[in-house]
This record gives sequence, structure tokens and C-alpha cells, in this order.
Amino acid sequence: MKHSILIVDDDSDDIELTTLAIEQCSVDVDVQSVTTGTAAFELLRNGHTPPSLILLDLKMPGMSGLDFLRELRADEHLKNIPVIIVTSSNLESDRQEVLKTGANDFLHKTFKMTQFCNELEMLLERWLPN
Amino acid sequence: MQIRKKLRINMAVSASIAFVLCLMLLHSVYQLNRANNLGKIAGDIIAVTLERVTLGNDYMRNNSARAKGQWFATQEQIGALLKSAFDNFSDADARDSISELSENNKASKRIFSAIVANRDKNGSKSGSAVLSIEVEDRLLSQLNMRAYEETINGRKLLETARNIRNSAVLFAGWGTFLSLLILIALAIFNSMTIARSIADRIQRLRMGVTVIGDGNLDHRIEMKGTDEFTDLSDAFNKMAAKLSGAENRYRMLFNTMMEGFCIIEVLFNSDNSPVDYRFLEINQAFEAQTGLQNAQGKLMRDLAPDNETHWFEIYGKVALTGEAARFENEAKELNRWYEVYAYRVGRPEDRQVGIIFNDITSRRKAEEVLRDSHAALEVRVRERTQELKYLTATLEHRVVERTAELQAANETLRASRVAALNLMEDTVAARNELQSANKELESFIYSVSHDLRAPLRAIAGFSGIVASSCSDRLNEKERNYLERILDGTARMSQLIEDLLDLSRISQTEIVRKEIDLGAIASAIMAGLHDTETGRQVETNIKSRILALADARMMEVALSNLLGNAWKFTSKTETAVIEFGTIEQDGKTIYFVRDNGAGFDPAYKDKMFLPFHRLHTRDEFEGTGIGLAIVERIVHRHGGRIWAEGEPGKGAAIYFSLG
Repeated sequence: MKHSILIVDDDSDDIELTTLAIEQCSVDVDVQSVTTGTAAFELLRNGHTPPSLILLDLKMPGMSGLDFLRELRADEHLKNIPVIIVTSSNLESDRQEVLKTGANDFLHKTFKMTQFCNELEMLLERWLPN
Repeated sequence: MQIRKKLRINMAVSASIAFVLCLMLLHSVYQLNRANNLGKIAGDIIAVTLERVTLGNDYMRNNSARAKGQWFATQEQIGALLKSAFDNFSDADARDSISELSENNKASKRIFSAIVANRDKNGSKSGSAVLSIEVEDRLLSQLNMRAYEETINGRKLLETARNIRNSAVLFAGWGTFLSLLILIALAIFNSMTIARSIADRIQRLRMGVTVIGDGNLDHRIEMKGTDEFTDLSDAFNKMAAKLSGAENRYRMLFNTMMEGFCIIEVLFNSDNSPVDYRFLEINQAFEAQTGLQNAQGKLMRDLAPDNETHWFEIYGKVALTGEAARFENEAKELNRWYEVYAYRVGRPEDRQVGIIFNDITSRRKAEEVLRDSHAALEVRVRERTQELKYLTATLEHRVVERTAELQAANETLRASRVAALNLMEDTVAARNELQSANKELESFIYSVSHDLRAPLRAIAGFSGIVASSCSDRLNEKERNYLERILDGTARMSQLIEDLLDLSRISQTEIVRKEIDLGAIASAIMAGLHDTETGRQVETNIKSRILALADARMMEVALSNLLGNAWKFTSKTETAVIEFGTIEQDGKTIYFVRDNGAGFDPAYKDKMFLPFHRLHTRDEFEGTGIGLAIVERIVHRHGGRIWAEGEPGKGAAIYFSLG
């Protein structure tokens, strides 16, 4: 079965860059994206097959990444979807707080595309079951 | 046995003896009376017998009928007497005599009756008269014999009566004698008993009572037995014990009381004026209270010749009137003041006075001192009042002057204050403005930095894709430009990150917790090793560097410091980076030291200013914000930061955490 990834990010540039990075990885996945948490829940609850993984931006207008994460983990049908936080912060303490809220891993929004691609590839291998 | 009982027995015995004596005397009287009666009867019988003889003779001679009748009458009389005697006397001797008399009397009657019959038969004096005379003579002699015997028997009866009387008298005499003898013996016995049991005991009692009476209240009278004396001595002993208890109590009170106590006898002259007194009794406190030694029995005039007369007068009055006196007075000779209570004791004629007194000299002296100081105080108060009055007058004048001066000064002050207030308001306004401007600036920096990041990332990201996918289609120059775009975006992103950190440091609240800076530093160093795995850097990090600080901020600070060390040792062959502590003035100073490029100490203060760099970008990359962030973090912890270093010899950054 082909895996699918949902990108939740308010910045379309970021979505595109992340999508490009995923395409460069050696995994075969479908990529979907939404720009708000609300839109993400609409998609997730419309009866389609849930995605294998969610890449979540923290800083979004309206429903923030943390709000989205809390609601997701509270939803009986969706709470088991792995979530990787894509964040510009590299602080360990920030990471600990988000892990407590229910995130599974982190991806640093670095400016170095090579580094970003390498990290993303390792995370996909880890969180997408073969 | 009780004496009363003894006496009763004694009386009963005596009464019995007297009763017996009376009975004996009565018996004797009865016997005497009987003896008398018997004697009388015997006398009568003898007299009547003799009279009958006479009557017989008369009859014989004269043949008189009267004599014959009288003879028979006497014979009857004797018979009656004998019958009465027989009935009244049962004595053997008397009965014998009476029986014989009765026999003789009856025989006499027979004989005389024969004579009478003989005569009556012969009638007149005829022939046969001779015969009858013979018969008659024989009968007559028989009759006389009988009369003789009767007299004898009467005598015997008399003798019996005498015997009875004698024995009665004897009986009475011996009885009286013996009774008296017993009574006398009893009297002697009683006297001796009384002497022994009463007189001795009275003596013992008297001696015991005398001892107790003399004041030896602990003496006890010993009295054996169970009589009234024992009871009496027991009562005396009890009384003595009670008295002894009471005496002890009063003696103790007398001797332990703090007040002096004495009993005196006031002596008067012939005008009945008190002249002296004698101490009869004193207690233990007396000497301490008066200073007079061995005063008991002595006269006051002898002990203190100059004692004031008022003492004698007061005690004299108490002794005479019996009215108690309470007073305070001075005894100059004893150099003391006393508080005294005096009252009469004993009989008025004894003129004795009891005195309870207390030495109040110290109190009086204190009162005097108080009075003196009070007087002195009053004088001083008067003096001071005068001075004050003067001063007040002076002061008033000065007050008027000063008031005028003050008013003038006040005016100036008011003007200054208004000016100062205005200035202060301006200052506060300026400060508030500055604060709000600062805040605005901070949030501006934060939002700008953040919002700048997204487009920058887009530039960098897409440039990177172009560079990697189209590099083969670009010439050398174009590739160089693209790389410089990427390089510029990378530096700009770093600058934004640093600015964000700096503004975050200012805006975030500090949360102090105990953290291990060593562990944090080790983690950061490991991260640095990971980014440049090819480098050989020796790391010396002290284990367990505990600090009470904000964990997130210290992570930022150490990241900057260790990052700098890592960066500036990049050209050193054997790089060494240290993180440790030293103690200075009781404070812990933390340091990060390296043996890298070092710096010119002339700029060591400038290096903490934002955007200030000591090296060119070609030498070492950097934004110039890292140390500014560190300084801000240290300051926010109330600490101090400074740097030491020389070009080419490495650098050390020291900081404290408040």
C-alpha cells in the first residue's frame, strides 16, 4: 500500500520546499497539503483513508500547531497517526514541551536544503512502516 | 478499787457491827427483865408461904374460919404464881424449883385439908381431943416441913433469877466490849488504808501539779491503779499537754516573729507618775530591733538613761488606764524610729504592759531623704521655671525672626518644589515613553525577524534547488553568484536567529531551578562534534556544575559561548575547550576557556555589544550578537560577565549568576 503524507503549514513556499524535499527522498509516497489546522481536520474526518504521517508547522494563524496536535490526540479515530513537527526552533526545551503534547518527532527548518533533505529522509524511513 | 466503794464497804461493816451490838444489848435487857420477874415471883412465893405459915398457926390456935379461908386463898395464890412462873420460865433450874414448889404446895394443901378434916370430925374439944391433937401435931409438923421446903425452893428460884441476871449482865458487857474492840480495829485499819491509798496519792498528785504549775508543762504525773486519783492525774496530764502545745505555739510565735516584743512593768513614783520600767520578758527579735543586750530583768533607765520621757508617759498611761496605744516615735539614744503597739497585760494592779514594736528607721530615713530631695527639687523647679521664663521670652523674639526667615525660605522652596515636580513628571513620562518604546522595539524586532525568516527560507530553498538541479547549465560566474545568494541568505538567517534569541531573552520570564550546567555543556559539545565530525577538539568539562538558573536561557548562553570557542579554535591544531568553575569572594564564577584565536584585550569591553565583532568575516563567521545575548542572560540572572584573552593565545569568558 502506498503511503500518504499530509503537510500542514500556512506558508505555501514551505509546503512546496518540503514537497520537493520529499520527492528527492527515495520513498514513494502521496503528498497532500493544507494551510490551516481546520482544513486538515476537514480532510481527515471526511471518510478518506487517514494519512500515514503528518508534517506539522507549529506557528500558524488561527489554530496553532499545538492546538491541532491536542485535538488530534483527543480524537479516537485519528490519535494514532504519527506527527512530525517541522519547526524553525532548534531549542531542546521547546522540543521537550511539544513531545509532551503528543508529537512523535522533529524536523528542523534549516536553510541548508541538503541537510533538510537528509534529516527528512531519515525521519520518513523511521516513521513510515514498510 | 475506787475509794468511794471502799468507804461504802467500810460503812456497811461498821453498821453491821453496831446492829449486832444492839441486838446483844436488847437480849441482855430482856434477860435482865426476866430475871427481875423471876426474882419478884420467887420473893412473892416466899412471902406468901411465910404468910400461909402464919395463917396456919392462927387457924391452929384459934380455929378461926377466916384464917382457914385465907390459908386456902394463899395456897391458891401460890399456885397461880407458880403457874405464871412455869409459863414464863423455861430454864431448867427454874423449872426444877417450880416443880418442887408446886409439889410442896399441893402437899401443903393436902396436909392442911387433913388437919381441917380432923378438926371438923371431932368438933368441939372433947375426949377424943387428945388423939386428934396428936394427929394434928404430926400433920402440922409435916406442913411446916413442907413450908420450909417451899422456902428453900423459893430461895433456889431467887438464885436462878440472880444467875439469869448475872449472865445477862455478863453477856451485855462482853458483847459491848467485843463490838467496841472490832470498831476500834476497823477505825485503825481505815486510817491506815486512807493514809496509804489516799494521802500518798494526794501527795504524789500535789507534787506533780506543783511541777507542772512551775512551768514544766512537759512533766507528766504517774499514777497507778484505777481510782479517782488516776482519773484526776490523767486529766491533769491532758491539761498539761494541751497547755504545752499552746505554750509551744505561742513561744514559737513569740520567738520567730520579726517584730520586737516585750512585757514591761511600769514603775511609778509617789505622785503616781511613771518614772521607769523594767523588762520582764523579751523575745528573740528584741535585741536586733533595739540593740539592747540582755535587757531581761533590767530597768530602761539603766540601759538608756537619756531615753525620752514620752516613752515612759505613754506606757504609764497604758498601764494605768488599760487603753491600748498605737504610735510611731523616735528613740534618739538608740538612734532609731519605732512603730509601736502597747497594751496592758495581767491585772491592773500589776501595771504590766505588752509592747509589739518594729524598727522603721530605714523607712523614716527614706521618707526624710524623699522630703529633702522633694524640697531640693522644688527649688530647682523654681529656678528652672525662672530660666524658662527668660528663655521663653528670648525664644519668642527669635521665633518671630525665624518665622519671617522661614516664610521667605518656604516661598523659595515652594517654587523649587513646583519646579522639581514638573521635572519629575517629565522624567517619569520620559521613562514610560522609553519603556514603551523599548517594548515596541523588542516586539518589532521579534516580528520582523520571524516574518523575515519565511521569505528568506524561500529564497534559500529555491536557490538551493536551482543550484543543485541547474548547476550544469550555469557558467562559473553564474554559479558563483548563486552560491553568494545562498551564502547571503544563510548569514541573514543566522542574523535573524540571533536577533530572535536576543529579543526572546528580554521578553521571557526567568524560571530558576537547580540545573547541571556541566550536563548541558556536554550535550552542546556533543552536538558541535556531530556538525563537524572531522575536527579533533579536547573537551574538559567539569562534571556536576550545579546552578540555580533558568534552564532554557543557560542553554542559549552556553551554546553561544561553546559555539564561539569551537569556532575560534577551528584554526588551532590541538584545540582545547574547557568549562569549569572557580570560587571568588565566596561566589561561584563559571568560565569557558579555549586556546583559539584570542582577541585584543583593548576591545574586551566592546565585545559584548550587539553587532560588534573583533574578527573579519573572512577570518571567522558570525553575527556579533552571541556575546550580547550571553551578557543579557547573565545580567538577567543578576550576574556579571567579563573576558580575558590575548591574540593567538585563546580567550576566556567568566560569568557569575547572582
